[in-house]
Parts: sequence; C-alpha cells; structure tokens
Amino acid sequence: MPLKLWLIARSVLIEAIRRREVYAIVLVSTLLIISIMGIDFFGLKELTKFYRESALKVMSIATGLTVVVLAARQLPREFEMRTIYTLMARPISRTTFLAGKLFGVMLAAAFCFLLFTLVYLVGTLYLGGDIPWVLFAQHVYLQLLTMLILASLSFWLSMMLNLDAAITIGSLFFLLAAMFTNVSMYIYDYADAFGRFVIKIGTFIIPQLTLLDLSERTTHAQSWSALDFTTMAMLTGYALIFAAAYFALAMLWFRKREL
Amino acid sequence: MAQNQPLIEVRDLVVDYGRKKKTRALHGVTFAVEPGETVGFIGANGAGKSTAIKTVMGFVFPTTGEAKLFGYPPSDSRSRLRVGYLPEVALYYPFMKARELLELYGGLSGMNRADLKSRIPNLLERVGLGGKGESLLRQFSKGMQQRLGIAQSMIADPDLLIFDELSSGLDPLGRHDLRDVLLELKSRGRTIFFSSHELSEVESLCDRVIIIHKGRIVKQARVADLMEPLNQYVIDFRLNGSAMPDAVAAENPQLENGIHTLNLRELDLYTKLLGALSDSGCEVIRTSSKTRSLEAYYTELVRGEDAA
Amino acid sequence: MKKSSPSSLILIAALVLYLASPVLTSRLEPNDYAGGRSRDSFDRSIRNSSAIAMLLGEVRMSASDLIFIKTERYLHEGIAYVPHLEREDLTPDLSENGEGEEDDHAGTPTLIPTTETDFRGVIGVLHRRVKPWRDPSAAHNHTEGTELLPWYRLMTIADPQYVRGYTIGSWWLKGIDPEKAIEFIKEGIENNPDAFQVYYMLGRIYFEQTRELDPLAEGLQIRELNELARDNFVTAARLGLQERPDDWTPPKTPEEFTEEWDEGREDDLRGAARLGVLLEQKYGDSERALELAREYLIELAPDGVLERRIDELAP
Repeated sequence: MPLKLWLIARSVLIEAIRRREVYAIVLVSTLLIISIMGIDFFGLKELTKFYRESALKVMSIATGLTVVVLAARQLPREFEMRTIYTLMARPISRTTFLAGKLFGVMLAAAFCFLLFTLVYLVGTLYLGGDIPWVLFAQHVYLQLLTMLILASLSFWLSMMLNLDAAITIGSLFFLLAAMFTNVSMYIYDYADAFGRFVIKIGTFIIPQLTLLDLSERTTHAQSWSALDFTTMAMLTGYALIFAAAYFALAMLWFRKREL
Repeated sequence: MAQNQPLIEVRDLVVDYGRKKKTRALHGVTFAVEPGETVGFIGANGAGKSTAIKTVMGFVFPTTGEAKLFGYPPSDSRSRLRVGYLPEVALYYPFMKARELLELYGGLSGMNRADLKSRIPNLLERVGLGGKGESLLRQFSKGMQQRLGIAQSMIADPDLLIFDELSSGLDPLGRHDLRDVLLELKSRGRTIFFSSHELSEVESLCDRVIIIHKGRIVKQARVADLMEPLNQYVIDFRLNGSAMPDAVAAENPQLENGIHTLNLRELDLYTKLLGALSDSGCEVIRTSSKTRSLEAYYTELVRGEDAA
Repeated sequence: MKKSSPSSLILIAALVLYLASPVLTSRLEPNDYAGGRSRDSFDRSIRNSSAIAMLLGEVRMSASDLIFIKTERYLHEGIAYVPHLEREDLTPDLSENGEGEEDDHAGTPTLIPTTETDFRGVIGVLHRRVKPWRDPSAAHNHTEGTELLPWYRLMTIADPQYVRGYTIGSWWLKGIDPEKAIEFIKEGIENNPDAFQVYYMLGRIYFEQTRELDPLAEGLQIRELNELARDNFVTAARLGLQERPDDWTPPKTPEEFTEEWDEGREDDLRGAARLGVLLEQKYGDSERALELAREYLIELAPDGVLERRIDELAP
C-alpha cells in the first residue's frame, strides 16, 4: 500500500516537474520578488519587512494557485486521456489511488516551497536582514497544511463539477478565504439572529485558511515569537479535519463514479 | 480461489446507462472463461462488449447480476492481482518515459524493482519497442502507444489477459507481432479474453467464441464446434475395379454415372479417406472443399437474430 | 526544429513584456492627460467617462487606500486595529507651535475581537494566537517608521494624487534622511500643486531641521531654513483658505462629517497659518506678519494663537 501510494504520487511529481509549469510559476514569481528587491525606496537599505511580506505573499499565492490547478486537473485528465483505465486495472483501490494523487500534489507543493524558500533566503541574505527561522519553518509547515486542504478540496470540486469550474472555485476560495474571515467578523455584530446563525455555521464549516497563515507574524518577527507546541498541534488538527473531510467527499464521488 | 474455478464469471449481468432515460446496455448476460482458454468476444459496435469487459474490470457498476474475476467481485482490488488489461483506446502519460510507465504499472501490480529492471527491456523488445525505454511517450505514435499498451498489460506476467478491441490502432506488422505474442502466451497456458472486430483473428486464435448482440449473448461455442458443421469437403472417385475401402463405404458415397461422391464435414476425416482411396487403387477424379468463415457465420446469425 | 506550443509562446511573450516593462513604463508620463489623477469630482467625472479608465482609476486609488491601511499595521507591529487614522493621523500633533506627545490610543479595538466579544470560540482563540494581536485595552507603542516607508513610496506610485502618502511618508523619512524627505514632498508638490498639505509638510520639514542645528554656529543656515519654511507655510495657508468652506465648523455628529473638509485639514491649515505668522514675525517683516495674522483670523476666528500674535504684533 505505501509503495503503491508512492508510485502514484511519483507520477504526479514527475508530471509537475516535467511539464515545467512549476518552474515557470517559480520563475515569474522569482522575477517579481527580485523586482520587489530592486525597487528603490529612497535609497534605504535593510527594509526587510516589506520584502519579507511581499515575498511570503508571492510564495503563498503562487503555490496555492499551482496546487489548485494541479490537484483539480488530476482526475479529469485521467478520464480525458483514459489513463485511468490502465491504472485502475491494477490491483489498487480507488482510495489508494486518490491518496497517492493527493500525496503527489503535496510533494509538488513542497517542491514549489523549496524553490521559493531558496529564493527567499538568497533575497534576505542579499538585503542583509535576519531570518526568523522557527517562525518561517512554522509558516511553511502551516502553508503546506493549507495546500493539503486546497488539494483535497480541488479533488472534490473536480469530481463534482468540471475542471474549469473546479479551478475557478478553488482559486477564489483560496484567494478570498481571509476576506471571508474578516467580513464575517465585521458583519456579525450587524446581523440579525438568522444572519448570525448563518455566519456561525459558515465560520465552522468553511476552513479559515487565515489561521494557517503566519506571514504577518513572520513579517513582524521582531515583535512576535514562534507559536507554542499546543497551538501548532491545534492548527494541525484543525487543518487535518478539513483535509480529511474534503478527501472523504472526493472519495465518495470518485467511488460512485463509473469510469 | 478454488482450482479450475472460472477466471471470469459473469452471471445475469444487467447494466443500464443514464440516470433518467435509462438505456439498457446488457440484458442479463451470463458467461465464463476457464483457465487456459483463449476466448474471443465478438459483436457489432454497441453490442455491449466493452460494457461487459468494463463491468468485469470494475469500471462500470452492474444494475443487477454479478461479475467476478478470480472469484472476487471487481470492487475488490485482489480481483485484479493477476490480470493484464488493455483498453480499447488508451493514451499514456505523455510526460513519462516508456521505462517509467512500465515501472509504474509493474510496481502497482506488486513487482519489485529488480524484477522490473530485468523484465522491462525484454518486454519492450518483444513488442517491437526495443531501445525506446528512455523515450518520452509524447514522442510515441499511436501504433507505438498501442504496442506499449500491450507491454503494460503483460508487465506483471499475468495469468489472465483481457483485451478490449485487440488490434485497434495497430498496423498490419503490429498485428502480426501481436499475434505471435498471443500465440506464445497461449502456449504458456495463459488465459486470454479479448473482444475484436477482426473475426479472422478470433477464428485463428481462439478456442472459443462468445457472440453478443444487442446486449444479449446469442452464441457461446468452441470455434471448432461452430465451424465444422459449416464446412464441406468433397471427393469424387471411380473404383476402377478396386474394392471400396470400408472406411469410405461407411460414409455412404453417392453414385451417379459411375462416379462416387463423398460429402464430408471434418477435415481430419477427409484427409484420412483420401489416403485410403489412394492406397486401395481407386481413382480420385476431383477434390474440393467448401469452408465458411466465422464472419459468414456471424453475419448469418446476427441477421437471423434481427429477423427474429 | 522543435515546434513550440502556443502556451509556451504566450509564456515567453509575457516574460519578455514583463522584463521590458521598466523600459516601456519609463516612457509614460501619467500626468500628461488632464484630470487623469485628480481627486476633484469634476475631473473624476471626465475621467470616468471611459469604462476602462474608471476601472483602472478606481483600482489604483483603492490600491493606494489599501496600502495606507497597511502602513498602520506596520506601525503597530502587524496588529490590525480598527482604522483610526482620521483621529490619529499618524504624525505627531503640533500643539501650539511645538510637537505633542504620541497617543498610545489604548482602547482602540482590534479587528480580531477579544475573547469576551468573539463569537467564534476556539477559532477565535487560534486567530488571536496566530495573528499579531494584543489585548486592545492595553496601551501599545508604535514601531519605528522606517519599515513603513516602502508602502508610502508604493502608494504614491499607485496614485500620485494621494497627498496623505506624501505628507506622512516624508514626515517619517525626515527622521532618517531629511534631504530625501524634502525630495519626496517636492515630488508631492509637483504632482499636487494645489494641495495645501504638501506645502505645509515641506514647511514643517524645514522647520524641524532647524532644531538639529546649533543656533550659534549655524545661525545663518537656521535663518535660511526658517525662511523656506515660512514661505511654504504661507503658501499652504493661502491654498488651504481657498479650499476651506466658508464658516466651516467642526462636525458634532458623524452625520455632519463631509469629505470636503475635515478636522485633520482644519488642524493642518491652522498650523500653517500660525507657523507662517510666527516665522514671518521672527525672520521677516513684523508688519507683514500682522497683516497675515489678521487676514487668517478673518477666516479662522476664533483662534487663540493668532489672536495672541496679533496682540504681540499690533503697535
């Protein structure tokens, strides 16, 4: 089972690497980061907060969109190219197959982050700022959990809808997640009883991706310490619940789908 | 799995397509494929061949009835442990190399790396893709992809091979090579079940055929049993003073204008009696054979079914 | 030769355009078209006659507003407070003619609610732990303004009519590099020749510079700077008075608040007027100072500071 999982995941990773889309995204994002570094802010040096925030934002958005696109197209493309037949003709369960795909997408996301981290570190060294190592590691870890939620959500969406719709909804969900959290906090006080009920339900059933984003804390790392173990464990549990729920939904759709 | 249990077992299989306006693709199909058999599954387009095969593979879910592979239902991944499958149309990951693809499929079938390493070059050689292991599949032609498909189906040396539309996409040379591969597999006792439009191919390779028409099995028979009643071998001879051999007399030759005529159904008997006549000094004036193809039989059968 | 796919070509074209963008944009002169950057409602209406212009224009202005909010986060170590910029205005208040104390604005609510007011239970708990957050009832300090500066640069690139970006940005920059601060606010004057606040800020920067100098050794330089400051305060007061609605009074309720004029602008105008008179009195002509004070008081009365100046200057 672990070997089969790895083999499926490896095929996703090979695709991500060989199709060069990851490199293109990383390259464009790197150029963006470099141009951020290159902006002349009154000839001042060591303005690391701005760089740190911008670089982390670019990393997050680029990886998030890569993951949504990569995950959403996995299953529809298997059907479209009919590669699913020869794969599912092997002694492999649909659960293992989907889990392998998810693992592969996560490996691709990790690969993306690895490349971005190198760019980020080189940039920080160039600008002469400090690197808040623990916070940064926690940020990357929590971002990977975000990617896990996004990938499993995208799998589900791609099973339920078509590829384009899955990519659109997945991307919007990712980009507007923080806005949803903020808006729900704002409007709660102004909502009537029914509205408050809806906001509460929405808050608990929609994953609050902003909880897994330590970019602000990392940006202002001089003032904030790394998260404690309990909080990290709670956040991990929180993310895994949603990832598992979306994966289960994706699995439900995939299992009942005829090939 | 019990010894001599059918490798494929389909019983009263009904498959409907569509959610609201249901279209029945299979109407209670029942058949089995025994170990060591080579079985051809023939029928027109839309007859239900692919649906039946996909149901057996677990890709399509039966409305009622059941299908089993090696005694397991298709939902159980163990059912596919010793199966090699080639779909009607298959493309392979264009970003992969041929070797990597075979490693993937072999690995999923439980093969270890060492076995794969030794087996892949030989297998590629065998399907005519020798030296292409490191080529990306996006560079492969349709025919090459089909050859690779055959290789992937055989990668784990399965006991049962299921081919949906066996030689589709292959050029004449490819078909010839495939035929050699299948004959070799057959000689090694592998069980082969395939659907095909090429009835000559079925006739020459199969021990048995299953004919499906409009979602119903209309004939299941051994090829020999099916073809022999249709064949006619004729020998015209004169006694020329010789005694008629007993074996010949037993077949009641007809006499007309001093010429005896033997009408035979079996090729073996024909050969044997021809030898006997020659040995006894009778004069063989003319021999002829009227053999009918499976295609002719199939056409007649299907038209009869349609008329009925 | 290997054939490139259309998507690769698009990607290459996009990359080439991206890399060439600095050269291409260097040819653009955003202020070449009338009304293009103005916040004036008439100019806006002309600009907004084109849907694309409207879209891009509003996006650009929204971007600069969003960036401005960002500066507040930076000022508060990343903590998101409910915006209170109208009251705080980020820059130290100059009470009378000198600088005031920074307000720690304890009690300003944070965007993330406190445990008592949060409806989200454990999600709220995590939110407070994960984001930069402190209990809003506690006093908080501001960070150094240096890290804010990139955002002021960006907001004025996004919208050169964003006067507040120039004034506050140059104020922060002044503490690090006064020459750059002057250069920046002069850019603001170039892009907003009718905005009194930019002249007022330039005057204040000159005025502040004098405090760093030794009156005995650098008296001449102090005088020059004060004269420059005075000229800018006087210009600011003249433009501000033109802009200020007649008989403006501070709003007592939020409903009375108008975009046309507000307390912040009123404070700046009064500051310009008072400092203009003071510096004219000190480094210029007393009669002229008296004349200015009387002229300003007509519009700004009651104003205790101006009235005291008149008392001092009147023969």
